[in-house]
Amino acid sequence: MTERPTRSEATLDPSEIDRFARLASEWWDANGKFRTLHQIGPARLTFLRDQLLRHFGGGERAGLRPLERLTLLDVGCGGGLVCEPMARLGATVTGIDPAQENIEAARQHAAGQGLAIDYRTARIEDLVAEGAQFDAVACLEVVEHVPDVGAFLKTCAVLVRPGGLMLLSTINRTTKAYLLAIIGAEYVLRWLPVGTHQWERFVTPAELGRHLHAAGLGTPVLQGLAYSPLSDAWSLSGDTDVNYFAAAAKPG
Amino acid sequence: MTPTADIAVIGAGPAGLAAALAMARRGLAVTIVAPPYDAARAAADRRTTALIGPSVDLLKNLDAWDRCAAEAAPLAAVRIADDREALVRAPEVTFDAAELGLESFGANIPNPALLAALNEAADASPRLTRIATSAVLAIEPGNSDVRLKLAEGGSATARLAVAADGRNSIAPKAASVTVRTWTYPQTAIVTSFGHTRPHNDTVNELHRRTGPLTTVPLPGRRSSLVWVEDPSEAHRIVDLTGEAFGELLEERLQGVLGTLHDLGPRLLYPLSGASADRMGARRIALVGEAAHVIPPLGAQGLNLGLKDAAALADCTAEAQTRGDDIGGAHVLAAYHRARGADVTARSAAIDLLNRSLLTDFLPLDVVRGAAVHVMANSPALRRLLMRGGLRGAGPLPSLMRPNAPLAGS
Repeated sequence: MTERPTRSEATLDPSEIDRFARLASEWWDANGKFRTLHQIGPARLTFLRDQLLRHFGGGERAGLRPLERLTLLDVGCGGGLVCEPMARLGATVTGIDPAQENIEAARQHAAGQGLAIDYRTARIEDLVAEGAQFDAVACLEVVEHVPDVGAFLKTCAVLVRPGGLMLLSTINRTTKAYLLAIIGAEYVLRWLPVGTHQWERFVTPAELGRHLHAAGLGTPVLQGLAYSPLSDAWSLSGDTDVNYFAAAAKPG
Repeated sequence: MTPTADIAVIGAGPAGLAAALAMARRGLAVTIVAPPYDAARAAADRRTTALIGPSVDLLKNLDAWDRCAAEAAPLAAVRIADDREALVRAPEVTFDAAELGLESFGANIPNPALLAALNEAADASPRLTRIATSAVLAIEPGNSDVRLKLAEGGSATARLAVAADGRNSIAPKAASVTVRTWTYPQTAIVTSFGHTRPHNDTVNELHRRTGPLTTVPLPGRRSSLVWVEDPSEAHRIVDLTGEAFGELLEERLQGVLGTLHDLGPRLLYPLSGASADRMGARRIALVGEAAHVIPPLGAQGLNLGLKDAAALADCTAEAQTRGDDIGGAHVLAAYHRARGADVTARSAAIDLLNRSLLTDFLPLDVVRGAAVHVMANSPALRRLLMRGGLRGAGPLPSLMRPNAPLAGS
């Protein structure tokens, strides 16, 4: 394995950044190009909240701001679809994205919601250089877009404080995922712009587990995300064949 | 910039009050934007509401049931009879709550008693406030909140506006939701009356070509009446002397309730229907008749609205729990998923039930006669139908389950 990467080329693909930047203004349109992200929102937020409360405790503080006192970094925060709910639940949230347009859109929206969120046009390497660490680091729908997953997760893990938690969501590299996420979602249903995903970059739970272990994190808790065509809704499930979530702790 | 409340409920009828109470019970800060409650004016409403079991459970969970239980009559059975002069007549069928192991299907309650109980519960709720206004003139959805412009000049803001102000609500237009409306060539005569024979807690539904005639038990030897007729006949009947009206009704009821007396004032309600294509959009949720109007058949009208209220309380409370924007697209999508199918199915079923009686088309008579015949002779199918009638599609909202454990009460 290589040294801890500090150069951006290892973790960022410029063509990927540009493509999302063009879509930045559409982040908050629930029926726009990010409709699917909005649709998985409730299940995704439920996973994050449940795992954070499970790991850090505080479920008994069943108040409206159960994440008060936690610091959370959202890597690849886009328009802030995850940062805002986490801030509402009381967390001190930092959102980073390499695309300036995304950060501008996110800042504007959060101000309208009366939420204080630290948005920065930055890369994970920038935060590592600052020596920043967080109680929890979330990398959602990001891993499948980076060229070197192992290097990316190692850098992210540095940003998790000892005893903290890393939260991930991504797409499995199975035939079913290929059919559903690429053929289905991009070409047939047009939920996502064609070219959003490259199948060979999808990561299996076993591979993710190995990368997390190499990054010094514990065995992840896995949960699947299932789509019900009848109700046109997504919910958490045991089936990790397509979309799945992972939560891995950093030893204290 | 701080919103007046999390949720602003427009309208203080039973559906609006239930929605406000349910959301407050689930931990949200709610303000009711409506004209102030006027008990004397409410008492002028002669109608009664037949509440099905889950609706009664909702009122219990909202601490409103005890205050109106004394004026409610249990509904233990529904007798459906065919009173048409058609070639193929449907046989009589009785749905008995005991077949489901239930004491009753629900209860019939005068609207003023229901409204008084809900208002008292609202006054006692710590998270519920009121803004008195003669009218909401405009609803303006924005990126982070929705503004209500009041007739008196002020305004109120909230994350979510809940329109429960009936069929003439301005909310569907403000939400860019299309409402399909239709009318029936029928008018309902509504009144109440005393009778010498006991009603045995049984609803009588006599299906006639011009529409159903339904008697619904009230406490003691008294029942409320919804008699659907073609409009000219309805006007003629309403203009009869009390004595002549009593005789005609007695004849229609074929002596089931004995001799009639103490007839209440008679009112006319032209029948119409309406259905919104979405249950909400753009920070506006539609509840009750703002979203759907159906003829007064099979005890579905307000029961649909109460289920809307309880379902919306679940959707908003769950959104708050996961940190979501409580007026955002996720909430309105979940609310539409929870209620859209049920509302559409029930509206269609009631519409079909009503329209099938209007037609002289024989094959439909045969089908309806056969269907009722099967119901009359198949306890299993009858139970299935009754359960469906009580529960509707999809899981019951949490506040409609008996003794629901309540968050933040």
